[in-house]
Amino acid sequence: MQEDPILYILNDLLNYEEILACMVARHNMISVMPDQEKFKPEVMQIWDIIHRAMEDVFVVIREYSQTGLGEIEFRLQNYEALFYIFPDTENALVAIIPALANKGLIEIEMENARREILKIMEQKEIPTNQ
Amino acid sequence: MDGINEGINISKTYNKRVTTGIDKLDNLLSGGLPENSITLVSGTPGSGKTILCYQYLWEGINKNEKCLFITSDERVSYIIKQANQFGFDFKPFIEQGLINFLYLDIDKTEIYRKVEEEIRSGNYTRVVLDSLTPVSEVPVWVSDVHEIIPTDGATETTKYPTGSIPATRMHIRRIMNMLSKDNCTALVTSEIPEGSRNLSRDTVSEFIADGIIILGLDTTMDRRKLTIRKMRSTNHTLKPHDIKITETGINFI
Repeated sequence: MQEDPILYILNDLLNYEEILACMVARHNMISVMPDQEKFKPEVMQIWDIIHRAMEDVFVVIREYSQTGLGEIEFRLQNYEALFYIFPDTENALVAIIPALANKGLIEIEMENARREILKIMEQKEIPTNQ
Repeated sequence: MDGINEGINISKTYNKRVTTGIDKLDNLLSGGLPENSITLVSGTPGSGKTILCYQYLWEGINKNEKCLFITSDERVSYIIKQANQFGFDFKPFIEQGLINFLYLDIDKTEIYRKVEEEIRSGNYTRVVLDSLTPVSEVPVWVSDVHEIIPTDGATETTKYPTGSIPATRMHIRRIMNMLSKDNCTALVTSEIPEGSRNLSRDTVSEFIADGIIILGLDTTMDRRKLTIRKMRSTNHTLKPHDIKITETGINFI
């Protein structure tokens, strides 16, 4: 899966010290995720609860994405989860960062990553063999 | 009925493995599905449940095992035609008697008898029920704790009202027991509605099955996942695996 261009973008995001974990996900499914070993160890300790909270957020995303919902974030313990939603879809680019992180640069990188992924999605054709 | 131990197969040991026809999946399952187990294959429509079943039976045919495909969703002719599109040409093997297709008309009340007789008389080692969902939704009449009878005119009883969890559980257990007889290793598919957190449509079969394989589909990102959620007597990962569906069936990426 290393040749996956979306995975390449996510791996690139993980190079930022304050992005502890990232993925492209939707309700009930993490569609693209870097190797979990690349996530910062501290986030793995609360991964289960963050994952459960994410599932609830994706219910909201599914409900409001079509009406122009662009971003959601929530703070849980010492962490924040950022959701950059792909317009009119149930999917979002998700990053987990420290609650006290300086979000200026992170927000720019997340927005750039979202746009790059959107370009890839537009280029791809959905297979029809199923 | 056999009394209190009816439905409890204490001889199950799961030492032997039954290969699925997908090498990577067999590796993840320590060699394959546990022999004489029932595995629930759940997923949203289009996630590849039926294709996985084709591969499983095709593998059986190649090992000269007798296979049974029970369908409640599609007519047999359509199933055979669709399988052929993925390179599984079952027709010659039907003539050889290695595989049999059984269509269950769920409007008929004799579905239990039909399945039980076929499994008992057929000496099958691999059985697929595709899908459990419409069969489990057949109205049933529960009479005391021992009897559960599909009926056209199901009415509520005071003990187990039709559609209650105990009635559904008994109904599904009865279906599963039919499949687990005579050393069959079975795959049972179940549809999961989009967005549901349940592992099956009926919300009960996941607790009764020996194993659960979840097939996920993300149409936006054009991704498919296979997750082994549960498999008795098997040390397995819970991590979702990327898969794709090609003209040869399900392949791991």
